[in-house]
Amino acid sequence: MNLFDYLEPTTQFVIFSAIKILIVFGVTMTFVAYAVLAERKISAWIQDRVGPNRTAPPITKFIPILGPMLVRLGIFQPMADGLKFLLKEDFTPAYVRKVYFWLAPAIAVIPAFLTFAVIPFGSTLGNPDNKMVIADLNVGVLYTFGIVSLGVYGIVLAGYAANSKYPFLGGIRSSAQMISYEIAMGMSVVAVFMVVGDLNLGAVVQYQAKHGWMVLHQPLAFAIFLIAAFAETNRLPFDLPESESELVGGYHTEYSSMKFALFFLGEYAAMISASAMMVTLFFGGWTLPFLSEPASSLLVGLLHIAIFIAKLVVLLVVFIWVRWMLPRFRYDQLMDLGWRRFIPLALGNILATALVLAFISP
Amino acid sequence: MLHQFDKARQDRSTYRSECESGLLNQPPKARVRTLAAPADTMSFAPHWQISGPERWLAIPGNADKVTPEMDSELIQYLPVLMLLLVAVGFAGGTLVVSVVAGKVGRRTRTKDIPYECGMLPQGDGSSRLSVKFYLVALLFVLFDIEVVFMYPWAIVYRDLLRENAALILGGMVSFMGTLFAGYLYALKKGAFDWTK
Amino acid sequence: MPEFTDLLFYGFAGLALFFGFLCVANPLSRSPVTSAMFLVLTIVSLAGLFILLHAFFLAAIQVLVYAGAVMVLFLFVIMLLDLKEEERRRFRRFTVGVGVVAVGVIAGLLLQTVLKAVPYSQTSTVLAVGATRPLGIILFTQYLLPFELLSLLLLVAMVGVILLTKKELK
Repeated sequence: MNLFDYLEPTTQFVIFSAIKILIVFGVTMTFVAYAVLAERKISAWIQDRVGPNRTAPPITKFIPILGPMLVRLGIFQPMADGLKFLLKEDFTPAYVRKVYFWLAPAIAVIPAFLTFAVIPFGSTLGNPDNKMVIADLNVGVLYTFGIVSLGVYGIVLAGYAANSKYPFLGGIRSSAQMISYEIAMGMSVVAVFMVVGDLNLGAVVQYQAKHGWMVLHQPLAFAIFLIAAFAETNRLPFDLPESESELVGGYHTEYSSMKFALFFLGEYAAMISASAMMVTLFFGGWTLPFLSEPASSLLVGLLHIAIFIAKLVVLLVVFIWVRWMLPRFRYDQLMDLGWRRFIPLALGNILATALVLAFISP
Repeated sequence: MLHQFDKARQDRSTYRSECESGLLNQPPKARVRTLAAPADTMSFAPHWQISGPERWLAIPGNADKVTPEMDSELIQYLPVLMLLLVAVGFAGGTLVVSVVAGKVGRRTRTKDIPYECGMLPQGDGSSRLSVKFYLVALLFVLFDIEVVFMYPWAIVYRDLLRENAALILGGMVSFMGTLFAGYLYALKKGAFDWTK
Repeated sequence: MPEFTDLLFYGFAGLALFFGFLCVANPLSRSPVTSAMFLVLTIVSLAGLFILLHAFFLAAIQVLVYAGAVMVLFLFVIMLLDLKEEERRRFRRFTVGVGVVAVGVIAGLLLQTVLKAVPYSQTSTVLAVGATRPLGIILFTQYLLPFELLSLLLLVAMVGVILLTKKELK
C-alpha cells in the first residue's frame, strides 16, 4: 500500500489496467465455458432431454447433498471438456497450407477478446477515478467495429488453409455474410449516436441514466442490431457457414483438438461481447433506473458490476434460446435480408431520427 | 488516479482556446511545457481520510512528482496494447500446450485425405468463386466508407443543428440520397439477387 | 532517456517498414495471400502511428476501412482469380517502367510534404483535431463541398462495379 503511493501515476495506471485485464479475461473465459454448458442444458430442456449430468470429480462423493446436485447440473462438464480438448490428438493433415492452418484459429480468437476493451462493465470501484473499463477510448464504438471487421480474417484464412472444399465454401460464405451484416450493424447504431452525441460508450451509459434506456428511444435500431449480431456471430438462424447438413462443419471441418476449440471459444466470446455491446448501447449498461449514480462506496461499485453481468446473462440466454427455436435461413434469404431490407430500414431510421431531433431542438 | 491526466486535458483545452484567440504567441518550447499539468494546482483526498474498505483500494497518487509522459487520451490506448499482448499470448499458449499435452497418434494415409463425406476427394481444394462474392465485397467497401462518414456527422449533429440546421441536415441528406441512388441502381440490376 | 511514446513510435514505424517489405518482397513465400496478410499488418502498424499522433479517428478508420474492408476485398479477388501463375512472377519492361514512374511521383509528393512540414514539437495545436468531434465540425462546415463531391465519387464507383459484373449477373 505504502509503496504503491510512491509509484508514478502512469505506473499505477499500468498496474491497475493489468489487473483489470486479467480479471476481465478470466471472467470471460469462465463465461465462455459456462455459456457452452448453458447452451447444452437449455437445449436439453427445450427438447425435453436431460443434458450433461454425469461428469463428477472424485471429491463430489464426499460432499453430502450439494455434490450430487452440482453433478446433476453439469457444473463440472466444462472443465472436463477443456481438459479433453487439450489432451486430444492435434493433427495437422498433409494437404493443408500449414502456416495458415496454425494461424487461423489464433486470428479467429484474438479479435473476439479485444472487443471487450471499451465496454464499461461497472461504474467505479473504490476511488472515483478508478473506472471499470479497460480502455476509456474517445473513438469508442469505432474501435469495436474496427476490431470486429478484423474477425473476418480468421474465418477466411481457415477456409483457405484447409485446402478442402467444405471449409473453403464455409469460409467464403461466412465472410460474405459477416461483411454484409457489418453494414447493417454500423448503420443501425448511427441513430443511437445522433441522440447521444458522443462515440464514447461511457457517455452512452450516462445519457441512458438520465433519459431512459436507448431501446425505448431507438427500438428499430435495436432490432436491426440484434439480428445483425446473430449474423455476425454466425449463430442460428444464420449459421450458414457451418450448416451441418450441407457443409459438414464449414470452415473448421478439417480442424481437431485445441485448434477446433479456439474457433469455438472465439465464437462464444464474440457472442458475449455482442451481448455486452447491446447491454451498453441499448439497456443502460451498469445502471438501473434507481441506481444510476456512479458508485459512492465499494459495495455499490460491486453491485453495478453485478447488474451489468445480470443483463448480460439475460441477453446470452436469448441468444441460446433463439438458436433452438428458429430454423436456418437460406443463403439468398440471408443476403436479401441484409442488403435489401436492413440497409433501407437503417437509413430510414437515421433520417427519421434526424428529422425528429431537428424538430425538438430549440 | 487519473486526476493528473484529466487536469492535463483541461489545461490543454484552455490552452487551445487561448491559441485560437491568438493570445499565445510563445516560442515552441514554452508551448510544449504547458501540456504538462502544473503540479501545485492538484488536490487529492489523502487516503487516510477515506474510511471503510475503500481505503484499501484508494489510490492517493503523488501530485508533486507528476510529469505525465502520455496525456489522458493517449494513455487510454496503452491497455489496448496490453490486452492485445494477453490475447496473443493466450492464443499462442493454448496452441503450444495442445501440442505438448496432446496425444500423438499415428499418421495414416486416410487421415491425410481431405474430408468429403467418405468419398475420395475430386479435384482441387479451392475453386474459383462466383463473381457475386466479389460484388458483395466491393459494395461492402463502398458502403463502409459511407457509414464511416456518418459517425462524425452523428455526434456533431445536435450541436450544429443550433447553428445551421439546413446545412447539417441537407448536407447529409444529399450525401445519403446520392448513394441511395447508387443503391437503387444496384438493386435494379439485381446485384443483391442470389436466387439466380 | 527517450520517452515511452518515442519508443512506441520507433516500434510501430519499424514494424510498418518490416511488414511493408515482407509484403512486396517476401523471400520465403510468393503467395499473394501472404502478401495481402502482411499488408494488413502494415496497415495496423500505421494505425498505431496515427494513435501516437493523436489522430484517433483516423486510426480507427484505418483499421475499419483498410484492414477490415479493402483487404477483405483483396483476399476475395485473389481467391476469385485463383492466381496460380502469379507465384512465378515475371517482369516486363513496360511494367517496371510504369512502376518506377509511379514510385518516383509518389516519392516526390512525399518529399515535398516532408519539406513543407513543421516539426511535431512545434505544432501542439494539432493535437486537438484528431478526435472525432472537432473533425466532424470541420468536415461539416469548412469542408462540406468536398464531402458532397465524395458521394459522387462513391456513386461512380458503385455504378462501375455493377457495370463490370453485369455480364455475369444476367
